[in-house]
Amino acid sequence: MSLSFFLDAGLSSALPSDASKDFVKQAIEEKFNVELNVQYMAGGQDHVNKINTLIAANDAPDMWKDTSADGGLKLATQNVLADLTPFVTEASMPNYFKYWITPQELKYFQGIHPFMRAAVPYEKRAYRAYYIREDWLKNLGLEVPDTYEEYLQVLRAFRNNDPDGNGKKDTYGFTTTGDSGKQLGLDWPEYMKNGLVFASRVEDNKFVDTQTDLRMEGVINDIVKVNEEDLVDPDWFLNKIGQQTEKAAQGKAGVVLGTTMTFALDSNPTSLQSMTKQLFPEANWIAFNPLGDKPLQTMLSPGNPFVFSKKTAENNPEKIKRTVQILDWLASPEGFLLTHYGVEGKHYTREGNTITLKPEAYQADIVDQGNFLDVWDFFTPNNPTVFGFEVIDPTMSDRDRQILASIAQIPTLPGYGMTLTAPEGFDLASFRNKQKEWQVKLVFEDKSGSKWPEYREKLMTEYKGQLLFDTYESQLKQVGVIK
Amino acid sequence: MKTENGIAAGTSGAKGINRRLQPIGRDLLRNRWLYLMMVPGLLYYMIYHYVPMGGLIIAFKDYNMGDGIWGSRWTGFDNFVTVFSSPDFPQLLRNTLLISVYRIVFNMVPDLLLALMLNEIRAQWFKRIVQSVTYGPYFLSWVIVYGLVFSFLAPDSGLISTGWRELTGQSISLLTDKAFFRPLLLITDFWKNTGFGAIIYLAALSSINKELYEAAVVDGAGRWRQLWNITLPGVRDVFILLLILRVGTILDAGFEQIYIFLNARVTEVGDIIDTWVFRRGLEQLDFSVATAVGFFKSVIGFILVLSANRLAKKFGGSGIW
Repeated sequence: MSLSFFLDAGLSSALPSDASKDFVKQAIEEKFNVELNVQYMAGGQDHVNKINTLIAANDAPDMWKDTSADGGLKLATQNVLADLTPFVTEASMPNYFKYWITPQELKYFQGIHPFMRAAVPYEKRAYRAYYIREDWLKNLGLEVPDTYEEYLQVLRAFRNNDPDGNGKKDTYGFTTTGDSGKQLGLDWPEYMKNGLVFASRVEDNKFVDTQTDLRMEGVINDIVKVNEEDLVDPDWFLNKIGQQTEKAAQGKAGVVLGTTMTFALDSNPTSLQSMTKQLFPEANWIAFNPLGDKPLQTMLSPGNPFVFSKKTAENNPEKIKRTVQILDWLASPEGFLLTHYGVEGKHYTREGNTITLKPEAYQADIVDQGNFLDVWDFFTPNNPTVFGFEVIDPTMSDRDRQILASIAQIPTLPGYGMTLTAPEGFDLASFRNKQKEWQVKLVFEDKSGSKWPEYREKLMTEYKGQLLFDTYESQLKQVGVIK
Repeated sequence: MKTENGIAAGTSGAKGINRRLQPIGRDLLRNRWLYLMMVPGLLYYMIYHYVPMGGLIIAFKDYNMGDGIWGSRWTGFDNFVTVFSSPDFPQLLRNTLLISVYRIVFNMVPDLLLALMLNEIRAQWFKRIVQSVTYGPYFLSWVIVYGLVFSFLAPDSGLISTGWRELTGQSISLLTDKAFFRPLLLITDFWKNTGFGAIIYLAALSSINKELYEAAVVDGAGRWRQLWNITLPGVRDVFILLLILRVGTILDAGFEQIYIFLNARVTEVGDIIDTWVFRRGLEQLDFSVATAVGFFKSVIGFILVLSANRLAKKFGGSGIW
């Protein structure tokens, strides 16, 4: 039986060209008696477009991980996804439900829609944190900022007082990405300063869309201020996603946002810290919160679903059943260990629940082979605690542990845990594009947020934003999040 | 025996029809190999250009991928209404037309000029080198061209931006400059495509009878006279032909290039119909609306080609038909 999957992976990860080195593929093919045909791309719009094209060409994969902004709802309405009711059950996916996703979560994720999308297990711990060059602070005799005002002072010092001591004024305070010139992005601490928290949320029994809230006026004013003072990397707007981290690693900026656990850990060979150290051996990035004790994000909701092709389900339901078995195995301790840490005895050793990694073998067999586990770990986040495993990584430094401890102290707000759908026929892309275009215009041309309420009004009427958010609220009411 | 009878019967029975079809039949028979050679070409156009036109009906339907083209619901002109009532549409149309017209003016004329200049070069080796060098960029994709442009113009790290900052102490950001976006499109298009565009004119130039020049020299015509009275009339038909073809695609303002160059600060001057269709059709799965726009574009293009052809004929040219 041959199965085709379309997965997501990091930009620089790839399956080994020599298939004999791909021990995960071999394990699955042997265990389940299948032949796998795996395609993958970095998640995001291009990933979505590629899959849409495959579907339109009547060549949809049997299973794929959806990475679209609406969690696959658009595809569900296009009637190309299989109904999951007969396939995804607590009996057919025991590990999935036991360790990762509760039936209640799945119900919320489904919202008011037919059961065609099931949440891929997701990272429930929040890792959104700002990182700052501690060595720069030390050079300038400054403390880690604890309030937005202190943060501003640090940005000024990073820009003007030559923190790297090379005698040139070539450093900036903050850097971020405008997604290749598309938007302001949500990385700016100025959002939190104005009371807007990352991702939308329910506040005082009302749905708050962070990006179009009235408080954006203040956010824009503050962003203009740091730009006008020349404290931010001037390339930020045109930076591709991920390029801001490169800029930070090149010593061009002293503050950057990270959203993953290993973003700046020594134990991750491709982390910000590891990359920066290649150029500046004394560099030291530490996690901090420029807003003191204010939350930086809401609790994460399941984002990406796994879905099956309706065509396959109708013509060949056996294929879906087998795929479900494979997915559940990936969610089991055995599959988790293989897709995150490699082969027992070779890449790690196990004693009871203690896993000890072997970094050299991991480097040689996995990282140097395209870091291909990054493709195969698509089904589970790197969270061994759900199985009660304790992972000992010999490369993990005290510094790493300290970073993780400080991230754990950053508070999060509760989220609403469901996917919201735009009303039928609503042109969400045009709406968001217009919003982004106007916000960019306010920052770069008007250099003031004072016209935001005016633009916002236009978004709400001309581009039907009010209808959108009313629809969202009524969906939240249906599941009881808003009373 | 059997065969003989059969042939005999066949010839006598088909006599009447044969006489009527004779001219076509004989022609077919005589040129059968030539016609056979045409079949693959015809098939190509049938399969890849005419059959897919049937898909245009989704412009009048609410296309749903699961239900397929036939199963989807009819909606009449709803999709067209959606397009024309979109608040972005006037701006899209204006940008598309402006960029297209600019391209015709600023990219067709340089093509011709380059061909004329190359034509005047007497040293063949030098001409070949120049031609190859100018032709080269045509083979680069727009992604690469954007990469080059970015490394020149990125506000912080770009070569030109850095130079400017060193000289004047002020920073510039040309990639996000509304006033500079359209010129940037034209300049890069010019750099990439002029060498290629000149080739067709060079071919036309080489077909001009050399005796005309000799006769002109005898009559005492200088270089400029020769250019004006012999060379330019010699390429006029080709120029008009290309112009008509370009007018037909005036609502294509160059998707590949603009999609890559576009950013939110220049959307106002750079967002064109095709980028909108891409977002709406492929990113939003709104194939019907995207098809409606494509249909609209084709109709306009068709009308324009017909009128341009009429005009060309009226002013003494030969047109395409």
